[in-house]
Amino acid sequence: MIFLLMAYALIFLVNVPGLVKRKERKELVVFFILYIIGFVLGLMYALDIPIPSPMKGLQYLISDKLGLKYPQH
Amino acid sequence: MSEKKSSEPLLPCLERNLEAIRDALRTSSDLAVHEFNFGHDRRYRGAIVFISDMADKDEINKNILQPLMFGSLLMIMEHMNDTKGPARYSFFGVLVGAASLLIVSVRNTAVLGRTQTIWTSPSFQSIRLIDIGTVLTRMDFLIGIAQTMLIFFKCSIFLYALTTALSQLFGLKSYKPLVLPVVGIEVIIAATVFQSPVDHAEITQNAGIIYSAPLIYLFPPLTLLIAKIRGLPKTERSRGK
Repeated sequence: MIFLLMAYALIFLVNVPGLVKRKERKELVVFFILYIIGFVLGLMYALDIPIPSPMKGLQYLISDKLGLKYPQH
Repeated sequence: MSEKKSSEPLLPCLERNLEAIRDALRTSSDLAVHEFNFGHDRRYRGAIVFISDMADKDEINKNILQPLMFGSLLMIMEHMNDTKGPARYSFFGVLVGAASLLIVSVRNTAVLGRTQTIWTSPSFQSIRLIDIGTVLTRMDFLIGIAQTMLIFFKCSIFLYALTTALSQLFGLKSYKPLVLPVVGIEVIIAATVFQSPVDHAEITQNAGIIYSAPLIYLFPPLTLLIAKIRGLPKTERSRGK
């Protein structure tokens, strides 16, 4: 948890001052969207909240919903 | 052409070199000079000079220009200053790669036989079985290091591709501010996406083949088609210069 906060503080300090100084607004918006997604995922991981796996979703969509399966045996 | 001029070396400036060549060969009417841009963002300028009666234009287009424009290996090669070597080196490199793949598969088959389909990493397992005079044992750490490095390079290239694509999608000036947040997301996804190696193998063997098929067979031709329709890549001439 502390490690997570430290890592994200470091990411913030490395990127944000330069972006603010150069007044790159679009960069800042995209950066913060990714930053917040990453932070929420990290927080969920640190607090042991199960994170939905994108691969499980894909498998559910392909195998169970569409009924596609690579023929094995 | 004076003696002094003929002994001059080529200059770093493309324009002046072309000027010198045109000047030297101004009597021959069939001198053809074709200028183009290549590399990432078309940032490098190049020119191909040939005698149009003596060279097959289609061959030049097919074998020299198109690989220059589309070759994915150029992602690395564009950072090299030597322009003559890379063709030879890449041919040699592909040859070495093919030979090592052959050696690896022969070795794995020889050591593991039919069981190699069971192991998640046959190379790792076959090296693990090496036991020469009870001295050269546990050589699998070499494979471990090599595979870790391989995965590191693979992740770096994917990270570069992803951040570059994102920055181009949103029209950003640089991909660099996106690198660390994307890494932050990737670390968590990597830790949670599969519950176990068995889970990983099961999903990639069943669903993986189906979802990766369009990525391999559908999207690259589609991208090429769209580029063709949009008239990309734009050459220097069509930009009206």
